[in-house]
Amino acid sequence: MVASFLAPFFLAAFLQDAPLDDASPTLLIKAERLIVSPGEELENVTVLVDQGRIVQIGKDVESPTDARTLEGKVVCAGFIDSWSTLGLEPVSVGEARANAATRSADAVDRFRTQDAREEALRGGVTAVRAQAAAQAAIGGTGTLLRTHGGESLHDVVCLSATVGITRGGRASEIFSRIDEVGRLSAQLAKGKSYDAEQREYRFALEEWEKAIAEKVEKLEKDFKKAKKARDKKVKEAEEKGKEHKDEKYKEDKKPRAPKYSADSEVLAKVVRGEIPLIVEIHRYPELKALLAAMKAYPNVRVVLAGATEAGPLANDIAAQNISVIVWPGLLGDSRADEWADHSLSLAATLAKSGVDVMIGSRGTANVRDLRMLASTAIGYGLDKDKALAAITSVPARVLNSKGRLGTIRQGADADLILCDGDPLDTTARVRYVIAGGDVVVEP
Amino acid sequence: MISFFTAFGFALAATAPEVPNEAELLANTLQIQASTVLLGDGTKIENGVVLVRDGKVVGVNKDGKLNDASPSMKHEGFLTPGLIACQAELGVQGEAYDSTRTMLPEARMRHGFRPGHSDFRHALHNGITSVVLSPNEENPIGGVTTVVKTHGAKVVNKEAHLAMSFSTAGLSGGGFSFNFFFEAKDFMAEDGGFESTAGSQSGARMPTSHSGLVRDLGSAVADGEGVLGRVRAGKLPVLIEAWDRNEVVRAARFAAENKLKGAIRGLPLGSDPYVVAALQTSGLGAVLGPYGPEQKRRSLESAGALAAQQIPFAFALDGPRFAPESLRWSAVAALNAGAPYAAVWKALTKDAASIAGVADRVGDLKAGLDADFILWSGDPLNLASRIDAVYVGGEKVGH
Repeated sequence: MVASFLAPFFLAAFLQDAPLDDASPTLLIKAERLIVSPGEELENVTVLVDQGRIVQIGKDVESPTDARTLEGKVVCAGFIDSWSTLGLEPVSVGEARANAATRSADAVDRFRTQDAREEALRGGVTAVRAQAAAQAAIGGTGTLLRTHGGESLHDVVCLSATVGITRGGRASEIFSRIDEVGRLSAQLAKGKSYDAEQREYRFALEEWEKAIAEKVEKLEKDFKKAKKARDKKVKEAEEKGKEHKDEKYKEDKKPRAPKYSADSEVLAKVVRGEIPLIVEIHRYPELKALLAAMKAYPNVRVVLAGATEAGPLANDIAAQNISVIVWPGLLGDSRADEWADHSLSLAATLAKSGVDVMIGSRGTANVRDLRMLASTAIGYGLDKDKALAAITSVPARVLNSKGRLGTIRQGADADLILCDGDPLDTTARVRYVIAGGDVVVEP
Repeated sequence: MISFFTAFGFALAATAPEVPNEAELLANTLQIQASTVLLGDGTKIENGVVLVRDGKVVGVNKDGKLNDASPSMKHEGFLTPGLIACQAELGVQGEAYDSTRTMLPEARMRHGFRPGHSDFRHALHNGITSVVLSPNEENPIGGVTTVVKTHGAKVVNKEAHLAMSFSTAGLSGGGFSFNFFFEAKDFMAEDGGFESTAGSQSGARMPTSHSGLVRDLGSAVADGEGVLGRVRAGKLPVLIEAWDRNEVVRAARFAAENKLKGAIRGLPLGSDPYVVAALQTSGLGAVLGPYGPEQKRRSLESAGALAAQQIPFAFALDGPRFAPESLRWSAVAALNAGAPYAAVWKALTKDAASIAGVADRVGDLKAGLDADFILWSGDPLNLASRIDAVYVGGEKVGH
């Protein structure tokens, strides 16, 4: 409440102080239908955008004199592609040797990838999770990029892994596929013990610092007495021709820090649930094995990607609070083994069991098709609102950007799409795309 | 959602034997009313009624009134003609080319038609009721295409086109691609014969240069008999594969010089003004897509550029390499890249039928055409719409 009362005041103060050469213009967006978040809509409202953020939403928004006005039949949040390789230097995408600490953020190539990013923007995609080493057993951390400009919104947004991917000759038969689940668990175990060591160390260090402080206080209090006693001992030692040895305090022994490991640092973050673990995995046996293995890590935020044969496990996946990134794309008859049973109905099947579904493009050039993929999923039974959530609010939440991306709320980034119809109706066109407050696509 | 009054009730009502044929005709005419009837030319008729009898369309009633003497059913959503894919190799499985020979004018795709193959079932499930089966681009002359229904083992057009290829793949055999080196070496070894050249040793087959290809195809069309004679006489159109700018321009000029009718298949650069001009001069149509991720925006914009010049186009399916959903997907991708709705829709129906030479049979909802139609939950160019029913020859065959 307080915030909404104060907002106009802050805005006024903000506008006065706004630098004249500010690149992001003030925008006034009039929406016949505003999709605040999927399923939550407002009619005939105005959104005021300034300095790249949404500063006000309402019926009676006063227009600043320098504001540019845009009108949209339907306005919704910019789409987020939770499974892509957009913006990355191409070799890094196919890289097979990576470890937990490998950062996709380091592979971002803003210059080489401009075409694909522009295409994605035309398709309404304003942010992507870009993942290098996307096929490696452990692919390192993914980064969240703004499609426009290619800057990073979060350098480290998840840890990526794959299980049972046939490509590259890895894990083609069932036992080695299940074995990969074991290896992934072993990595998590490493992160867990590293995290425990770190916590023990921090605890011990705290205890030690406290003990030292107490001892110092005590020694200072008795300083004169202690000095006298020591001087006496030194003298006695001299007289006996011996060397004096100072008293040893048990507090002298400082706890030793565990050995630093960049990989374990990332794995520990995953174990603590600070970043999600996104696992590309497809077939039933290894999915079942993974679900069982993850019961030992209740804090790990597991996200499945692909999950071709997850249909029969939908209830278990929902029960374990695991979300899934689905790719409802088209595959001809030369598909890879793990995609053999690919079904366009998967998103609907999972969502009906209560699984949080995201939709990703799993590509670079085809990030532009994200809207078409979500629309296809609707055609194959996915609820309309859930399909929109799958490319807006759900990925925003999973990728630690709730409140900033994925919904149209005061204070959020001004990533917006203006359509001349329902955003996922492919006969409607995307007219304007606003990314970080800039109008980047116009009719 | 769909109410069905079978013909039985009406048959009972018309018991008197002396009743004229008209009552019988009415009783045998099925009326299907849909919220929107979308015709092959993109016209939308709200609450239109499509009349079907004996497997054929009798007409479309635009006033939305139903005749009590005929059985009727109502559909909430769209009713459209069945979709037509202008290039596919469904059910052919590797029999669509011969790597050992260059010119195969007498090869007929209809001999490779296996109507029971699951590829056709999948296509039908996606609203594709007719398909042009064509040989692939490995042969400069690959054979005669055929148009078939995806249900009922029917051949709609035995000889639809002569398939030619101006693409690089047409210049080679056995999986070896054309290489300028081969061309140069062949020239040098000309009097020694081709057997000893690097090109032929590596599997490249004659011709090994673009100009050689044009010359060979030219003499084939000028002197050939049978199929080639019908092409020369303008009785059989051509379907020419050409992918890059030079290939397309070469193919268009070749067609113009030899007065050939037909279409070019490929054309990722259909938005290139130079290419559009060459196409316009030739009078050829175009078969675009399918649009995978490798197709750049320029390619997606081809449909719009061709529509602006009134050049007819249709879409290829390239199945089974591409999924049957790819046909509609390509059309939507073209629409999203700026092509007009009507042009895109025609490319899936009416214009596709013209390019396939079957406009007198399918592709629209006109009187006399086969009653191949689809009931959709919404607009077919919205991927969120699903197919509720597929009819071929007036018979419900899918969903």
